Amino acid sequence: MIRPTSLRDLVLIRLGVAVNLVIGQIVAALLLPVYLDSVGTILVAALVGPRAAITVGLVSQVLNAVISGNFSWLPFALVQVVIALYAAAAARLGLFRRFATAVPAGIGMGLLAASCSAPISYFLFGGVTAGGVTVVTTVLRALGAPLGVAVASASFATDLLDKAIACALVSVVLRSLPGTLAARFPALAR
Amino acid sequence: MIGYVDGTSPLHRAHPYTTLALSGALLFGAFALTRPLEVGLLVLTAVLFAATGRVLRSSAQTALLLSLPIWILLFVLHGLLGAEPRMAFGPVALSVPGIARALVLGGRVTAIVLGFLTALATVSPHRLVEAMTADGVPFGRTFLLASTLTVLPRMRERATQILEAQQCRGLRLGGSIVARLRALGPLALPLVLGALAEVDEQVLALDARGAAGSARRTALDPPPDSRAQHALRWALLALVAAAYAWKFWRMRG
Amino acid sequence: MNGCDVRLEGVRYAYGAREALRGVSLRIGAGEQVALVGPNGAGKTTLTRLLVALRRPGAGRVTVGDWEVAHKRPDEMAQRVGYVFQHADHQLFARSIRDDVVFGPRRLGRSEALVPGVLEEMGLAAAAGLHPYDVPAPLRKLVALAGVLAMEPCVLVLDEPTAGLDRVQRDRVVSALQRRAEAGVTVLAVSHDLGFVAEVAARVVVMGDGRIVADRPARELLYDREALAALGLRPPPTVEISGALGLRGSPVRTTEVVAVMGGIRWKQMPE
Ligand SMILES: Nc1ncnc2c1ncn2[C@@H]1O[C@H](COP(=O)(O)OP(=O)(O)OP(=O)(O)O)[C@@H](O)[C@H]1O
Ligand SMILES: [Mg+2]
Repeated sequence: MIRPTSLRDLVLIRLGVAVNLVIGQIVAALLLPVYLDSVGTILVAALVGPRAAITVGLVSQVLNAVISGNFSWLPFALVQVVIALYAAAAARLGLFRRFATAVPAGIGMGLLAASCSAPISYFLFGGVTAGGVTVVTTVLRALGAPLGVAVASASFATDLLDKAIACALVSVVLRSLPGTLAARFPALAR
Repeated sequence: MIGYVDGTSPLHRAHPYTTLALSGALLFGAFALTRPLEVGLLVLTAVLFAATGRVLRSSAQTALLLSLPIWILLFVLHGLLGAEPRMAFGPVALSVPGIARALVLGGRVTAIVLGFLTALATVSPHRLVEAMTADGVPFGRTFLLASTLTVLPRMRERATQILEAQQCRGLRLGGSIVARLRALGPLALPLVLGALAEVDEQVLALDARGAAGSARRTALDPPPDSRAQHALRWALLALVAAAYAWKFWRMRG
Repeated sequence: MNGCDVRLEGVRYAYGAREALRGVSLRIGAGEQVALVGPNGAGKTTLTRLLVALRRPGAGRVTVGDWEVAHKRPDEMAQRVGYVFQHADHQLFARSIRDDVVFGPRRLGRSEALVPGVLEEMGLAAAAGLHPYDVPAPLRKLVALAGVLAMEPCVLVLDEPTAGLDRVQRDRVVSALQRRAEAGVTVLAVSHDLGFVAEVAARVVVMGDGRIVADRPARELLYDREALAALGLRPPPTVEISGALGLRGSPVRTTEVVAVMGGIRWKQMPE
């Protein structure tokens, strides 16, 4: 937080946030059972680095709350920080270079994200948050699973799928970058 | 209605930080309160807050609309599926502790959303940016706040255009889950690649406008602050801290 | 190739409370070339979107050949109607220009045999291996046009196809459309560029405030200074030249003007 952020990094952060918030439109048109709302965070982690990615995650979460009018999503910002750090590490290891490594990396990210979001969802909201997770929770609960277990399995199922697809997509984006653009991201070469 | 509504209420006239502190106190206070009665008081406070901003009607309407699905799910999750003892309620048997829990959680969410909508309706974005600039908040953060909101509509429009264009090239949005996953490429790639291709151009444009990385701008019209408001904000912080202290003390006891 | 005719009957469309089309009836014969002009917000783009099922009319009927558009999805309409968007440069995603052009034909299950020829037509043959985002935005627009032409549609709908293009690029679009016209493809082009309209359209439909306010042969409307002035438009350069020289037969295309002028010189030389 000491190094001042360059103007270019700021513009990329803004891009990451916009991707996070807008990709849902495409996902919804395809009726996919995921959000992919961390694609921008993962992308910026790979292109710029962890610091910028954390900013992307936090700003996205705040704007999501502002736009939806739903302040109760804010505590999940913590999950975004974890995702940003994990994605930057995965990019450092070159895991996004190939599909075969990006998807497992995504599953790992999903496990981590779910372990963070399940307790938040359980303790703060008693298992109720907007979207598909809650529906899964309710179904599991109706089938007789205890609330804690229901919340955890619902978060895990959605998060694993979501992050695996998100990482696969970022891998495709990185491999589709035109040469001139790719050359402008030193973080990619590492 | 979500968003700023022009007005002259005390909340509109207050320093932006004061209004934000009030809604922040509602948010953090909400999680410190755990009993139905306390949460009832919290909701009442949120209502008073909205009334002070003279946006009670529109904000309450939106807040109820936003929290309605959560109320329904809470009712099903805790009321119908909750623990014993149960109480017959017409044709269904409702869980007594479950209903209490649903009331606490639902009240919390409603109060938070109402407080948040009120802040959104009464804090002018322009005054907030001015206040932040006057406070010496670095250019980068105010830039992110203000400019991300302006690029969003453009990106949304892009996404719509791409969706339409690829369909007109024969891409089907429906079909098997595999087909839909494969369609992500032609739809998401143009959005991201197009935006990345514009980055350098945007940096140049911003640079030309003198928006250097850490440069500070002088606030032209900083909103007035007062000692009383300053004190109020500290008092709110103390109040929230006290609420948590009480919560943990009670949990231990 | 058989052309397809396009019909709109009493079509209305509103975006929420904003009425964009207030009862439009239009028939474009198979193999006919029509330009759609009119001020900003007149409803031109909205009308073209109805033809490819991107929007459903609130009232009225739209048909393309024997297809009832109301019963089709946009990806099905793509079998007949090729749509070139105003911001067509936003839609590219493949790793080479060639791969992007191939996307449409492949999606429709058509042969890719046309692709090299279409790339040549757009002057992209040498650039075909480049990444689309490594070339300037106007060229990307030509890539998108090539992608639609390669789909071999029997109706071509274009929204402002020449906006942002330079002279050479614009001429490529003009010749490509003229070639399609000769092959019997139906063309509907939305444009503010009357020079372009003069080259590619035989008939001009004028829209204003969600209605069709005029529907006349290009040869007639482009010479009607008053009607054009009412639309805030000026005659295209070919018409200005032909008017100034008092050429006969109301030529509107560059080739026609050249032909008539060639004729004059030939007759006047002996004097
Ligand atoms: N997505 C939309 N949502 C709401 N209103 C719209 C939308 N698209 C167009 N409109 C409105 O419908 C009217 C017709 O718009 P349309 O885009 O069809 O006009 P146009 O003739 O293509 O104009 P232009 O020459 O500016 O492209 C306009 O008043 C416009 O504001
Ligand atoms: Mg238009």
